[in-house]
Amino acid sequence: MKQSQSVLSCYAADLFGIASALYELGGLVVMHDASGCNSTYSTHDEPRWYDTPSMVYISGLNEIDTVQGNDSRLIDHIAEAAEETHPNFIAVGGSPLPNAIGTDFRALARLVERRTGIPTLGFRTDGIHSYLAGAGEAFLAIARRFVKDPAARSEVSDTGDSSVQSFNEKGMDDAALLDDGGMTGRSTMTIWGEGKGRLMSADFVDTGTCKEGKRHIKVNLIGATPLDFSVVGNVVEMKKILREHALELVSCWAMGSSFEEIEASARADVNCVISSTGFPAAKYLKEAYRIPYVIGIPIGASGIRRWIRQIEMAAGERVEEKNRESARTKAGKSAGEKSNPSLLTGLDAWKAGELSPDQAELLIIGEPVCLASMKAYLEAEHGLSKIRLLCPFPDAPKELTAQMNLVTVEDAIREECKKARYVLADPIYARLMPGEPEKFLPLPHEAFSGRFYRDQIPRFVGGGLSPTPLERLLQTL
Amino acid sequence: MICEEEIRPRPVKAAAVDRSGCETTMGEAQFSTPFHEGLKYGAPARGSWTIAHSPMLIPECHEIYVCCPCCLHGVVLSAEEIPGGFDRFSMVTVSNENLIKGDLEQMMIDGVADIIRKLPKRPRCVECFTSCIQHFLHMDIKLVYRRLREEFPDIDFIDGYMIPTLQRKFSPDALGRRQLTRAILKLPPVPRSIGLGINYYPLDRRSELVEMFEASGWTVRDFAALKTYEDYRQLGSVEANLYFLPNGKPAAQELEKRLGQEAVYAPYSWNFEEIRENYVRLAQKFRLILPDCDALREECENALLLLKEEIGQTPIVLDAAATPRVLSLARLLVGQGFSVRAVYADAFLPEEEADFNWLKLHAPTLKARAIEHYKMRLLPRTEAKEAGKLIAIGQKAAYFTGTSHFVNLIENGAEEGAGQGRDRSPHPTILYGYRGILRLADLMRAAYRQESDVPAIIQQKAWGCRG
Amino acid sequence: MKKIAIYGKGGIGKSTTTSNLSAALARMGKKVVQIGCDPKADSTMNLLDGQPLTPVMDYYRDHDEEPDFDHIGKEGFGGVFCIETGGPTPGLGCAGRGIIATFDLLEELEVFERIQPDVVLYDVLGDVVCGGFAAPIREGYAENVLIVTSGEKMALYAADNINRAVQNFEDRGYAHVGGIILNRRNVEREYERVQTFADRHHLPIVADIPRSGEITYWEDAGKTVVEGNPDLPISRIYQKLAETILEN
Repeated sequence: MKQSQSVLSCYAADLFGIASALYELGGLVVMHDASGCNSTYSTHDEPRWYDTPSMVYISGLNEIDTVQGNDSRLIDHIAEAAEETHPNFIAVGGSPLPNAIGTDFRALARLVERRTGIPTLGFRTDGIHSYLAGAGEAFLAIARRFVKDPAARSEVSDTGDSSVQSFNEKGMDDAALLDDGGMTGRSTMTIWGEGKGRLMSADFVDTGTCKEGKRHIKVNLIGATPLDFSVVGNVVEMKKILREHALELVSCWAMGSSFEEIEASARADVNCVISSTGFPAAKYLKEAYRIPYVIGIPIGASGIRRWIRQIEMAAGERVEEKNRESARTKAGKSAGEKSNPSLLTGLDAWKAGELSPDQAELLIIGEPVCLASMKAYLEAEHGLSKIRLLCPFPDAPKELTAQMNLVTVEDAIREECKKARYVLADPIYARLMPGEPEKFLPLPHEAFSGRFYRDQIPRFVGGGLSPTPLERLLQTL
Repeated sequence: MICEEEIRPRPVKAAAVDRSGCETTMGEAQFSTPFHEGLKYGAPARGSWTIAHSPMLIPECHEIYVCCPCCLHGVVLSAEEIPGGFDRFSMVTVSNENLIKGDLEQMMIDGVADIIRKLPKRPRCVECFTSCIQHFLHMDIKLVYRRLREEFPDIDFIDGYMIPTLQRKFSPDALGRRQLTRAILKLPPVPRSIGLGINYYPLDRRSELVEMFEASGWTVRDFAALKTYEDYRQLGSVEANLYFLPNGKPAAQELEKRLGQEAVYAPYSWNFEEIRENYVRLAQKFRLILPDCDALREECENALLLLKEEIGQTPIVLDAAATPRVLSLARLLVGQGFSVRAVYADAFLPEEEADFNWLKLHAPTLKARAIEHYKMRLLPRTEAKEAGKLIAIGQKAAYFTGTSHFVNLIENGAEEGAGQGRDRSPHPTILYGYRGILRLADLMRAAYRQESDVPAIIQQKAWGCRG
Repeated sequence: MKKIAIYGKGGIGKSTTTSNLSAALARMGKKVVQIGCDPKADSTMNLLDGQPLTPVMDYYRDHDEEPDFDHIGKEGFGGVFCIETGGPTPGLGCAGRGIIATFDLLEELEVFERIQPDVVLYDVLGDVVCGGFAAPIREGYAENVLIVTSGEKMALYAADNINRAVQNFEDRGYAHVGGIILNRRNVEREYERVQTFADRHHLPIVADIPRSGEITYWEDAGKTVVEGNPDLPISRIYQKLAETILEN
């Protein structure tokens, strides 16, 4: 029975992804659901809830309003709060009942916006899709609606460094989209890829950026939420790595950056997609503002090197582009509008995947960008081969899951775990292998197990996994 | 290791709001809903139990939730946090596919059956939970349980409902309690046996209520203290059931209707006269020996006097999650000369109307404050700091005022003794009657003397629950 | 691209009108997509030689996955691309959600981008019973609504309800009612009755379709009358309606 979970949990749902993504941006976020249903998010998915007074509310949906399709109570309540608190924006999304009756959140947003004069985003969340789709849509909406066009301003960075080797658009997309055989090759297993003649000179990091003493590469980090990174310092660590390599952080979507910083994101030369949730927005910003993106998390020394190199390569490409044409084109912008089909509309929730008969040395289960980055790290620094990646999200961006098995059915995941020699995943997955604790390497994922294992979540970004049982086990592999 | 910079990010500032709409005075407040309804906030004070926890009180009962992921994510992780809770929890995920195909019945039958077959040990009882979406689409729930009972005749199935959107007759909590009685079947009545339920904490065995019954040769069967499934079934043999709060009424009425066990209301109260009247009524009805109410009252008054000597005019705030009779408690404290500053409650029970009117007259400046109102998220939580010292009775009152001097009282339940330990698995019991007031005085004294790690305690989900 | 939703009381002749309109547009060389939004899934049958089309939701039910472009619809008479949303098993599930799911799929598969239709016609179940049935008039779908009615009291009553429903949606940026199609049932003073209704709501009567045995004759043969005999006066009326639609 594909839909039964005897022992597994389920991932944070779409509307929680939206709340998490927008949490720090000074908006008014409303989940259209019954009173009490907000406690799931605030208890299990939102570590910032206790001390950080973000306006995330529940509407208190009731049956009669649902049956009658009465949205006016919701609109009144939102307007009442908005008029008093003057949020930067309003976001409203639905839950299973609005989904069943087909509540039109786009129209609802328009009504709220007209009434309050505050930009309003409507999301047709259904409480069935995962946080990847929800947070992904939220960041995309921010990109579409609030990122300011920098074309009017002339930046010092616009003077290109022609010594930077660039590659064509296709090449960049290849690099970005995990297209170079991450499953098997030794040297091409990173998500941002190197090889195929696209390698930058090895000393680029040290000499390239600041050679002329004036040009800093400016980057955004896109896709930061506690759901993927918890609050154990992973995101801060990424910022530190950027700083240490003389890269300038324009904004982080969305942990630790103000709404104004996010609005100014198009100043950046490169977007760093650090989880699937950042992918739709990065794609849009590339189409609208020609900002290239790299995908991956810097794990381990090799991971940091690759990440930085890739950012610098992408920045070089950006310069070339800018020299050719104005940064932003109308066509690009409208292409950006078109080419992002909503992740919230897919119906396909159950996948058993195509099971591979081979025994993997290590099976990793989790969010796609983390999976690919972890794989690269383990291969490069722990000499592992035969790593299999299992993505349990049916609604992850397809471009990111090409090199992994998409499996959502508990029985099928159990089979995959059985076949692997070791499994690296959230501790809840260990329940699929009772009696084999020695096989299991825990890497808690807040979106799956909530706050329960938070004190065991390692700072996996940067110089390798911080001392944890995991590291010890890795040494025994 | 938590990173301060990430958990308390710099850019987020609360919008400045005034207290209009979420605070009033008892003099001005209207009964029974003093505040305007709007967007709702959920404070991170999580000690109250939820639907994922209460079925854990039925020994050998396995919970199976059949819902959409947003609903499942909350209950599965809430069960997870209870020691031993996870082993008693499974789920079947409803997706869009089922809405479109219309196979809600079949997917539930197949999913539940699949889980039961895979469980390492066959449970005696399974409580399945369906959610808003199935009932909104009029799934044939009877058909589902008929099929499940046919396939698993050895299991008692309980039809649980997690339908907060569809609150036509019962609140989610009241309905949750009622369904917990569904697998109690009629047994030959055992004379002189009485049931207590449905409460989440066992009644303090030292309370006069237990003494009264036991002294007259009665067996007291407390739903919240069951040890085995057999104990649960024995609830089918009691003569009558006492319930303490309105949310327990539908459960007691269900047992009355189905099993002929009389439902008797023995309300929580913090009022000496009301407590006495209650005991007199019970003593007459069940032919019990009435305790010496005058002596008990005197003991309570002395204890409160001593307490007052120690804490003086230290401001006190209390909330409705601490006790369903929050106004009754406020009245007791005001009447005994304590400095009660505010009561946190979104609505008051009908039982509270007399207390409400008394406070209106005798404490018109006492503040009534909302709990869920959207502004409660934004108002500064610095009242304790400004007051120097402030005692909160209840987790929400503690959170909103920012105090560290607090009585961890949840639905009249508190840990035995005066301790405020950080044990992840405390053993609370219910404060009831005169002895309840005596215990409260002890707890307040302890709260006055010692500080507690409030964030650590109040963020624990379903305080005192065990799997 | 013109996108029009056809609404009206159940059994009033929406599917007949829509299919003939599609056929007429196709004969003018226009590329047409007709989408039946009704769990009965019988909107496009007479464009497909009387053969029922596998509705999108039925495909989903049977295959456990969404159809791809090649299975989402079928070309019928004159190249009209026919799609039926279908719905759940009768009496179960949520039909409105099925319509929305189908529309999502049309977007995801970029059906309109690939087909590049000149006209899209949505043939919608008689009453706007829930949110899903209003989906065709939401932003990005139909811009105009045509209401099919006869002079019968109940048909006009339904037309009034539909008109009011659409007006309620005005501040949401939804479609507008563009006019009335009078599909005659030969009741007394039929034109006047409908004219009065139309005037009261400031709506034009965009076509006046007489009752015709030819329609039934050709439908029995699995065809629209426009396909069966385009030279008949009745066919010319549909042709005229098609022209009107293209002009406005």
